[in-house]
Amino acid sequence: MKKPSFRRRNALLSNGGALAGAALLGVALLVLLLRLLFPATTIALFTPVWNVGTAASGSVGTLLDGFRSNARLAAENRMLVDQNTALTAENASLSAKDADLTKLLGTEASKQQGVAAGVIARPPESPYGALIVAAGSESGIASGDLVLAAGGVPIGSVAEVAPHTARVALFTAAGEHRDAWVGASRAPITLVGQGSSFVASVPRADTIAKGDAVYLSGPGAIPAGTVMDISGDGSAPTEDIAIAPAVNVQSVTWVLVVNQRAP
Amino acid sequence: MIRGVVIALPILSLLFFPAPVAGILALLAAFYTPWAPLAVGVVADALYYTHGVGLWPIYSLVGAFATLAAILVRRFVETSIMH
Repeated sequence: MKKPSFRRRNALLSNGGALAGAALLGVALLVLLLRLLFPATTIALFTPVWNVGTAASGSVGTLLDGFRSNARLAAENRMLVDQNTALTAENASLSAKDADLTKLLGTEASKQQGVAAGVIARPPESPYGALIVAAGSESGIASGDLVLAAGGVPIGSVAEVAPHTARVALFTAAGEHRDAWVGASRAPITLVGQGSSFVASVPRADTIAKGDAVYLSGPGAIPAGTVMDISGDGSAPTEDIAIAPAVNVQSVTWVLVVNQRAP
Repeated sequence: MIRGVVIALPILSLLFFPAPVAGILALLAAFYTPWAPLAVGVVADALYYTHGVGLWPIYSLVGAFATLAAILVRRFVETSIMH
């Protein structure tokens, strides 16, 4: 005989599922309340776990390196040695040129002042295209400060600040827009964040090639990335360019937070 | 034991693995409890949501939709088994 509908087992009320669901939701609400009421405490609680994850990722990477073939490693090593030699020579040449110009013009390059902060969490673990760094208002960091990675490359700006931690919104976050220029023709473009890279649209008439450098708008040449791919419909007046950022934000471990606005 | 591991794993994976991995584990946990995707989404937003990056806590919303779908699927399957 068919059971009346009010007697059927309810999908929500089976014992095992209900208890497990209640426990999970309880944990989720607890974490949410901690974030809302004590945001600094939340990060402090989870920082050791994030550090373990970062250390484990490094160890796994080292372990996997051992499985690469020796021939491939040797070839990669030779290529890197050649690159290093070329870059060292170029660096020496540029340093000499810089010294000559400084002597000629009588100016001094000022050292970048800022707060060095370790990165606690980064993409892809952090799904919102943001970093969590271990320095906050107690160290002089304020909302809107510019965040630089190695080499002085700007990668984002401070979005939220707590006494000892801060959250950094990356330029590569999905939906972020930045004015920039590209190539020898200095074509103006708007970079659109895609999570870990940028895309931009340029008029088909502009002579942009793979490998062209992209710079953020602002004083001087602020590196943003390199053109990796150019694609688009042949009949369209514009073409899309994919840009690899100058810094891989997924491997950033230290940043410098400076008291400047983002370009 | 296995049920407990499958249910707890998505929340732990948020701390070590990219979000899509946690999403897949949450969908697997939904077989045991349909509330898993919502809980994982809320924890992901509590840990990582940043003002200025994204207008909405998108992972909570996605988790809520996934939970609703899991409840509907589970109700349909159990009703089919009854018949």
